[in-house]
Amino acid sequence: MNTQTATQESRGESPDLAKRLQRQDRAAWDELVALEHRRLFNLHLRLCGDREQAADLTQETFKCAYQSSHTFSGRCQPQTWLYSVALNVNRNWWRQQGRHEPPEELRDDLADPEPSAEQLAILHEQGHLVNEAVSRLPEAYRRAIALRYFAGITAMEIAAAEGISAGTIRWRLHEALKRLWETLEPQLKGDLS
Amino acid sequence: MKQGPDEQLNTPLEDALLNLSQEEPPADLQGACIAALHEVSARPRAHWEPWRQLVAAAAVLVMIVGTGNLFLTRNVREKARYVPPTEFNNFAGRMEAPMAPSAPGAPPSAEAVSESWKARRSSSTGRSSRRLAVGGNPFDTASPPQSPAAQTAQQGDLNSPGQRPWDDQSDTRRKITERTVELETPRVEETYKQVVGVIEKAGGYVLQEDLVVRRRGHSQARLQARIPIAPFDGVISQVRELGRLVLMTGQTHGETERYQFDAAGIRELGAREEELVLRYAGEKDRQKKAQLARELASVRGQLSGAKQALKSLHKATNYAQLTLTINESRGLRAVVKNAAEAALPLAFSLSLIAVPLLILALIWKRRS
Repeated sequence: MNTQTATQESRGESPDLAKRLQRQDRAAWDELVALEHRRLFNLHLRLCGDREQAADLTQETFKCAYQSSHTFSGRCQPQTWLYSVALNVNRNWWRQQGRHEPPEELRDDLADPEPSAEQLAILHEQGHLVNEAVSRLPEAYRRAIALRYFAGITAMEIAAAEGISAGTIRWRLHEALKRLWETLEPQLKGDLS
Repeated sequence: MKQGPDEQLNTPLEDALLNLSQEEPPADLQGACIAALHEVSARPRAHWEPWRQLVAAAAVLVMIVGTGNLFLTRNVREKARYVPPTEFNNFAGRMEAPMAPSAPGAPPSAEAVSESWKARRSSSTGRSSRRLAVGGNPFDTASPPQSPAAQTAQQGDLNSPGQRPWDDQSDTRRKITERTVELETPRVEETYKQVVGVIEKAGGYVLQEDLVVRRRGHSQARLQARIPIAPFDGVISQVRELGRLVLMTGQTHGETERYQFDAAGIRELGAREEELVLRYAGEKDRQKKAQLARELASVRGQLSGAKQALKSLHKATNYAQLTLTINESRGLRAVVKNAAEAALPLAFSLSLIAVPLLILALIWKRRS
């Protein structure tokens, strides 16, 4: 039994799920919904901040994924591909809201995040702070953060889904964390005081 | 999932992000998602792919055809030949060429005048032949060099002593005959060559020609020819059979009286010249001899002009003039062909606008 099959079974999915999804097998899609709807909902919730909207976006994600299942090449895990579809759906939703992306500029002045135990405890309790901070990130960083930490996808899989190198994804994650911490730290300091 | 080498060592912030508490989705979310999938899968699949491929193929085809048509049209324009009328063919122009100046102090003889005129004509013929030798295009076969019969008509008959027009004292009716014929034929160039062949076989020659052959579009040939009066009617009949006759008009002017009057005048002047030459030969007095020489020069000047005019008239009455226009026939095929030719540039122009719009529409449809 290879590593991938073991991972699939640990996640509760069938071994040939990817091929069945490509064939638009309804049972496979129902299985995917059962497996991923919760994480997908949380992903959208953290990116848009509204439960109702997140539920709509989750449905929309499955619909879009089903309609574009012919584009799924099997190069990555079905979940990875599903989350890249989710991010596209989310991006379109943001665009429809008239939101403009913040300028993506290089910054050398950002310090590495070094949260204290108290700050982490507050962060754990107040997840909405993270959601707000993530929503202010440039799109490339937001996608990386969302896929890595909210959807739980590794950097290598994100790279496969995005079609770029894993090194680039790691660099983006590193930059995104520094920017995220730049936003979060003052709020956490305020809460502590 | 497969972990990268550095993904086992998360920073505290990363751990905190990974362990953020997951919120429970609405209870009916899974059902709603499955229902949404049912809805999508039950919807008949739009025939998007084949339609898009067809439209793309059609757009590419239009672009290719339009571009090809542009290039072809340009090539045809370059290849379409316009054959301008040559002065070589203008026989009347040669006939009206000025005489060579006489040597000072000595009156030119009639033979010297005749030789001078021949020399000028032969040099003129040589110049034109050189011009026609350039290129070797298919239309040159329709141009001079003229048939031996035509050359004889131009060079031999007017200068041989027995056929001098002013010596002709018969009652032959002299008339100038002109015919204008318009033909329609599907193959203009071929018909044009056949017409020229008929004319040359009859001893005629082409005065002016104007041939425009287009690969697409309307081809046309026009020519003006001189044909000996005897076979003229036969030539007209043969030419008529080479295409569909659209128009034929004809004119005839009687020139007998003028011809006879001019010929008599030349004979009188010739007698006067002869008399003056004899007097000049017998005169001893230098002053009178000079006076006779001037008088002789004047008479010869008049004689020369009169002979030229009579030669032209002789030529005009011995050679009928045919003005022929050959148009490309306008059958159903030609109409369809021309309509298609007109439509292709339009289609290309429209495609320049339509293709970008189509691409935008495709992009918009895909995004929506």
